[in-house]
Amino acid sequence: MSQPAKFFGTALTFSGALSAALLLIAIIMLSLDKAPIAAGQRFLEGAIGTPSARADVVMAALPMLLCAAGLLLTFTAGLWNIGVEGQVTMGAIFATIIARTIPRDVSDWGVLAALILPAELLLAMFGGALWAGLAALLKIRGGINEIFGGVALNFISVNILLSLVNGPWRVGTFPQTAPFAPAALLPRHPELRLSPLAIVIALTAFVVVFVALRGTRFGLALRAIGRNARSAGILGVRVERNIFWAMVACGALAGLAGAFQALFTRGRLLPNISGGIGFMGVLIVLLVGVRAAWVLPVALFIATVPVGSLKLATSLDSSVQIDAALGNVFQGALVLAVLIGSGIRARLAARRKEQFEHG
Amino acid sequence: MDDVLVRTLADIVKVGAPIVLAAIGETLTERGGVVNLALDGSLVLSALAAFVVGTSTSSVIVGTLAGISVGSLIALIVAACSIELRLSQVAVGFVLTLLCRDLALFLGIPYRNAQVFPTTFLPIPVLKDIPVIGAIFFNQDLFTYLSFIAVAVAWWWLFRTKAGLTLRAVGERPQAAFARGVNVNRIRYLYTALGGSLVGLGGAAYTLGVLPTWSDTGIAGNGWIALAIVIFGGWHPLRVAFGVYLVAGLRTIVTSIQAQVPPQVVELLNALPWLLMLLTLFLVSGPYLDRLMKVLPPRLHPPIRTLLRARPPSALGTVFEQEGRS
Repeated sequence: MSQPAKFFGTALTFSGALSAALLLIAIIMLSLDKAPIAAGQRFLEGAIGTPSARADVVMAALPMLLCAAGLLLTFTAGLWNIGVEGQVTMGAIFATIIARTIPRDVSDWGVLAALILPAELLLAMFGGALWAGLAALLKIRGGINEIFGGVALNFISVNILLSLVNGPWRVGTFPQTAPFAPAALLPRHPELRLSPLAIVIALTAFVVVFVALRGTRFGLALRAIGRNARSAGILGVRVERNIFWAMVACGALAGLAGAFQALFTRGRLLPNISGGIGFMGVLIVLLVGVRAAWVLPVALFIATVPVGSLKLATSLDSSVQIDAALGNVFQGALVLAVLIGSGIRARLAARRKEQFEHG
Repeated sequence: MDDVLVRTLADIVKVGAPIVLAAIGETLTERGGVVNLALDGSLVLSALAAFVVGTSTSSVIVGTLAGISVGSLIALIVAACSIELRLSQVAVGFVLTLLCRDLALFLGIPYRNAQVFPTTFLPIPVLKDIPVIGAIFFNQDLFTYLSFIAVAVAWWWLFRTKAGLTLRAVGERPQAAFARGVNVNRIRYLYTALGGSLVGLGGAAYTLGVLPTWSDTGIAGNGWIALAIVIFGGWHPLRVAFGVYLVAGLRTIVTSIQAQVPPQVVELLNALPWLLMLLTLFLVSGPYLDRLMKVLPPRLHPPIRTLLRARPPSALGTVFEQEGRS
């Protein structure tokens, strides 16, 4: 198929899927006596209408971008790293190990004060990588499918998190730590709820992954394993080693995303610190079909959903006030519709080809 | 036997019932070569459907049927996407599980803290008076009996009937089964829907039997446990049921000592079922079992291999390109 026709087909699939998902949401809203059009306007206004809303979207997109970047590596190798959610959680926990000990006043720390943030972020990456490495070892050494191992490690990470915030790290009446001191947090833009440093880190990480996939031996090896692991092994690719490092790299990026959650979004450690961003990363990668270049715009698009839904949820106008959980329904419906749409397209193309070959 | 123990065992059998139903359903589905990864979301959504329909019609049977329909419908989406569109079962199932769970959380908001459903407690007259056994197995609610029946029938069906042999053939060697005249994809549709309806029944067992009210937090996550136990149980109904009761037992023990230990310890103890499953699978499916075998007398090898086998159906998760249709 020619390039413009292919692009047209993709655009058609996406717009069709988007309409289907929006239609579902509109039907749900109408059945609850809400005004879908007004809610849609309110949603757009709340998500992209003001500079502060746009800043929220960008900041919500960063952890998703990090997870999606890491998952590009594992998906390319054909690995379903469902454990990404637990890797995010471990990242947040490991960042907290340092963050909770930082006092409010660090003026007499001198050079050491500049090392707080790098140490937190590195430790968070280590925590995520550790959890991913564990899932990789279970797969390579124990033959445990990475989906099963990942799910188990997700639940275990939540248990560890709850144990810490209910026990030794708990401050006050709720199961959570105290708010972290300013020196422990990602530095914030003076006016907007935005962290330029976080943006730089996330974009750098994404570019590194992009280049690694396109132009390095590692990327080539991962693609070979993803196509056919056994053939890749026969041709001399070290399958187990590459799988291990792909998982560890993904875990490190997910851990960084967890640090962003703890050190910026929430400013403390609390239950459900990941907020499902690992799974959103999986949805993003499924949505773009592992086409790396699309991850950035799609992450921004997906990030408008929680930001806009929150504005709807807190709206005082009862005709548009609706629980933010509906935003998650939209995301899921959109990805399912895109999967089904591209499946139908592929079947139609195959049928056309068959007819062409048989005259 | 002392009273507390009997009551604890009866409790384990009861709280395990929905997970048994879901896990047996998934076992049948996976034996045919299809992974229904949407299980967790299906369980929650069918539980909500059963509760809403059940309370509004004040009929347990109609509510249960609603749960079953939702479960089988979701399973059919997975099957259709795999068989007709050749999409990855894992991708579709994963997206569906998130979608169904979020849909249930959203649609269930008005039903939070809704009234408790009339009980489905159904002691069986004569049998319940048998000492110990009666108290554990025959003094239960409707769904618990259904879970026993599901295990027994699934075992008998899989290993003692021709239809079960066909199902296993479809999951292990679809080409061979097709050559013998089996319509592979029709069998897969059939057992995916059947497995999905058992998952739906499991959902209904939560909101109409075990809980019995609508609570998303009490249900979500158990579907993942069921999926894990299918692997842990080596795709064998009896071992799957054993796995469920083991996990339910661990949870019951943790709940019963909750008051005596600090909360941070309770949270860590909640991770025990997952740790246990990971460790067992690691030892069983890795090279460590072979090392253990070398130490044991050869006479014991075959029974241990059957007991601990953890090999999935060979064609699990794959697409079968049936000739004569495209």
